[in-house]
Amino acid sequence: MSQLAEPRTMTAERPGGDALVSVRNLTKRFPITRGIIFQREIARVHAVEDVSFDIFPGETLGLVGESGSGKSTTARLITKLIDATSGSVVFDGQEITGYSRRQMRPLRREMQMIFQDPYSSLNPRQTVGQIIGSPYAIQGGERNVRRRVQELMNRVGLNPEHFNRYPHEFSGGQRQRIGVARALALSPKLIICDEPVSALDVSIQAQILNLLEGLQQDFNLTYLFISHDLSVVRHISDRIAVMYLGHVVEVGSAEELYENPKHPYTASLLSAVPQGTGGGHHRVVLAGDVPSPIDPPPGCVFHTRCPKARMVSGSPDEVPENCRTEFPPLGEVEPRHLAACWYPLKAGEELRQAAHR
Amino acid sequence: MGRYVIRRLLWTVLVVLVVTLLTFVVFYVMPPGNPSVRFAGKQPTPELIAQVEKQLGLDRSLPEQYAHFLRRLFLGDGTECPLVYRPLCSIESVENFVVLDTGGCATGVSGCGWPGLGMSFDSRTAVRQELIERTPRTLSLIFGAAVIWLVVGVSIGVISALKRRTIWDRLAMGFALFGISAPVFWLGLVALWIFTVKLPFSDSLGTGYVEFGNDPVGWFTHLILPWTVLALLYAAFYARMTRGNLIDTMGEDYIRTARAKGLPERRVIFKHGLRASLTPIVTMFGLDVALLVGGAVITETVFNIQGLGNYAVQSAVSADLPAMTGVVVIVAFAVAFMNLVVDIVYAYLDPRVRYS
Amino acid sequence: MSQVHASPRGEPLLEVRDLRVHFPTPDGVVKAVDGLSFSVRRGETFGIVGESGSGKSVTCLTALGLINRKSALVEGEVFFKGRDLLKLSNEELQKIRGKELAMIFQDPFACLHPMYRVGDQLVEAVQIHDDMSRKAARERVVELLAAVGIPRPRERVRDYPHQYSGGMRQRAMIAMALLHNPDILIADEPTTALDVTVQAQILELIERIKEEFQIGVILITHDLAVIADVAQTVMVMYAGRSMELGARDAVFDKPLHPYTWGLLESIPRVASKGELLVPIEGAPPSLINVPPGCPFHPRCPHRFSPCDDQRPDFKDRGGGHPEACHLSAEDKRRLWSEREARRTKVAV
Repeated sequence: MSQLAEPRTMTAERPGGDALVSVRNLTKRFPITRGIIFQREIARVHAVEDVSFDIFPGETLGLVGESGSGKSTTARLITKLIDATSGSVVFDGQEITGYSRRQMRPLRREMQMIFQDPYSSLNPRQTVGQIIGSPYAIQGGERNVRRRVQELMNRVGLNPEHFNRYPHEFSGGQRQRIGVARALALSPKLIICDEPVSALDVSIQAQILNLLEGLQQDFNLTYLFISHDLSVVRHISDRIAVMYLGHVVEVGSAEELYENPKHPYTASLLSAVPQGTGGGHHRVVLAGDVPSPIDPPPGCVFHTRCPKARMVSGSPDEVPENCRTEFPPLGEVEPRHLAACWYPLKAGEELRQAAHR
Repeated sequence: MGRYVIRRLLWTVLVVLVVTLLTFVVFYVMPPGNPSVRFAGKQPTPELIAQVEKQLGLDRSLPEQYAHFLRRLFLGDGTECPLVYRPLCSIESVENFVVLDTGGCATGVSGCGWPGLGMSFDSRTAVRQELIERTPRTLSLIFGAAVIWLVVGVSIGVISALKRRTIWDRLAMGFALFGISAPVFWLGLVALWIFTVKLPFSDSLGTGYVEFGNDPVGWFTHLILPWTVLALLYAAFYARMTRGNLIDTMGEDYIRTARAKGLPERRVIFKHGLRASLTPIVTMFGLDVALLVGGAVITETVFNIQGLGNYAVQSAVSADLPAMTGVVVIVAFAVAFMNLVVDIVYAYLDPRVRYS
Repeated sequence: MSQVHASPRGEPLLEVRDLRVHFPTPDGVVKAVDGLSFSVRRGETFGIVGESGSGKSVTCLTALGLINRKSALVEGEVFFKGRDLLKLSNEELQKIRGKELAMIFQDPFACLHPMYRVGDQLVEAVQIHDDMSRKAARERVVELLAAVGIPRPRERVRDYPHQYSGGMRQRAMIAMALLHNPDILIADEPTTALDVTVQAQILELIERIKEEFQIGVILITHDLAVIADVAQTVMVMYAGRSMELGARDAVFDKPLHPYTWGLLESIPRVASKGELLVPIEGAPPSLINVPPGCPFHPRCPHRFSPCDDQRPDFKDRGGGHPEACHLSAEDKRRLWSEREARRTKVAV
């Protein structure tokens, strides 16, 4: 893979300030094996390809992309729930890529996760107190666990008297609060939120989003916020990284990225979001489906569906040669706004709908 | 589909080979001590041991012995008894192995080979011949019972699922509970008592086995009771399973789609619902049938059918090594074969399997 | 409570009057739908929006006879082309389902039978209503698959559902729904399980079909932005009841019910950053214990004396925009503009 180039420096993205998490050239390929006795590898799922970004203390980095774009795999790589094929992850100054399970243990308390499904991520046989208090036990115990847990419950908006209740006695929104409290218990530095509000009703979503924002201010938390919902990501994120087929195609401040997207994929994605303004807005409907990550297109992975490439070539059936052959580096298009595109959009440039369907 | 079948076929051949290898190791390599010493009798001379060893093939390498074993297993034991048996035949007891009488050996019946299936210590008949005679009996028993339990079990399960929480459901599940709880030996004896002792048509029903080729009607009438008794337990299980599966399937989204298309309910159930809920039953069915090949002991005993299950128990009780080997190999073949059949049927029923 | 909402655009195609669907359970009666009235016209996209358990889906499943009639108490009327669907026998309903009234569902992954070819499932749907040869039916299927944008339909009819992507499966479902040129297409959360770009494709497709075939579309969703983009008429549901119903612009720009206000304020809008999210306090009620009076009153910041014991009528208080709230028209105007001001002030 030609795009596995030498590590690029990303400091341009945000000069000054040391990153809490620094991801460089992170790649994960899942082998697909076949065979009766001897498993031979017949293909690889290119789940995450050459991904680099930083997360700075106190900020919220949003990670958006459609299903199969590699968002969740990236999160699992950062927390080392799975091992990377190549690339590095530096967490709080420590290169953790090669860490063993035991070496990771002290770091586990520093990075916590909040999951999408509050129903299945809580042990139904434990009381809320046990669930929230369990990190203390795992990490070596603490006196007055109960008092601490009840403080936390109070802070996340749960009634502390419900200490001895079981998860099924709570509503969906309250269960997600339990998940938040559990993640908070050890005062982590980084919290990875993997689609934390996707399974909730709209009226409850806002409660959880507000809670997360409030906690961030109070405890100076850093969030990696993964979601497919672009409105939610925009609302909560300071900066956003957009993923497509395992690649980060654009990184920028939430404001910049939404107002002035540089990568044609970001622009198409944004225009596909219902605006709630009564139709009529210009919608770039991408043709077809996302290609298979087992056999991603050569060159820029987006070139098979890219409307901009077709505008450049002037023909609905053609794309410029460099789009077909070489993956564009994630470079700074405007200050602190990076995009991986040979032909980034200019400010105010509108994508015309690609002619082919 | 073709590729898939070939792959499964190769896999099955491999499994069978592994099973025979394990059998060979368990029965011929692992028992401690030199078998030729046991065969050489109470006062073995070194010469005799050497002779036995040579004639048993024990002087050859293990892979060669295994190849020998395999050949015998598949192609039979040759026509004549090896010479070694003649001197041995006079020996009454071979250590803790049992009597090896002149009878079988002297007449030169095929099948005394070692390694290989050889001769039963117990009955002094060739194991292979015994298996050839007993297998059709057991298969007849299983076949008939399987047909009954499938038809009865699945029908009851479907009715029960569709008439959920009605009197029919309760009755059906009551029947299932009875079928699962009633012990086969009791059921068999009661059935025998009622149908052959108490009722007038006792002549036409009976125990024992009549060969299909000789008397198809007799075959049927002699088997109908054992079929029913054996099928009852399984029918009960299958009824429960069908009911559960069908209830789950009828809640699936694609069933709602089928209804939304405007299909009549009958078609929704039988074309869309049943197909999806029967796939797990196929797996169960294959394994149940395969395991019964050596496992229908009680039914065979109660109804005096000299089948494989019977043989398995007899040989185990009397430590009849060659007979045990024979039964083990046949059951293993049956399991491997039924697994192959299940896999193919499953792939036919569920296309997702084929393409994965 | 007839004719709740009069619009100049022709006769209603489907008219629901005071529909009640109650499911008795050992724990109590689940009042899934409790006195619902609305009507849908040809060429109109009628959006029903509400949270889970608000009764959106049950309403449509009841109209189609897809709920178990034995386990439910159904009252009211659902008029469709002059007939009350609730009074039809199962056999009569079967003739209408999939022919005049078609429905597509949320999860395209689960909606097609995994063991039959996509083409065969569609052919079956053709033949059940039309006496047509298999070959002709297959032609019809290929034609429709092409119409909904499935590439190489002649080959893809032979595929099994798992060989289709989510978007293609939903297209196939739409093709199935259109086989008999229905009068009404009911789409129950048709894009919830899909990615945004695919969602845009499917919404565009439904829109195009509505225009092309001049059918009525009922779009059920929890996503306000989707409703705002594609629906002409919007009904907001809560706890099995209608909170307000009106033209899209009326509901989104001048909503009359505090629940709608709460909904609008609790979703982040992609178009504007930094707005304050004002969540609705509490959680939706259990349908076994719906609060007396206005079902929303325990969560409503504007509740006053009658709210907790008198159920507000769902009626048009002028302006062709019926709603169910005790607040006076003037209070509503004032409160909404105050909330709007508060919201946008934070944004600035």
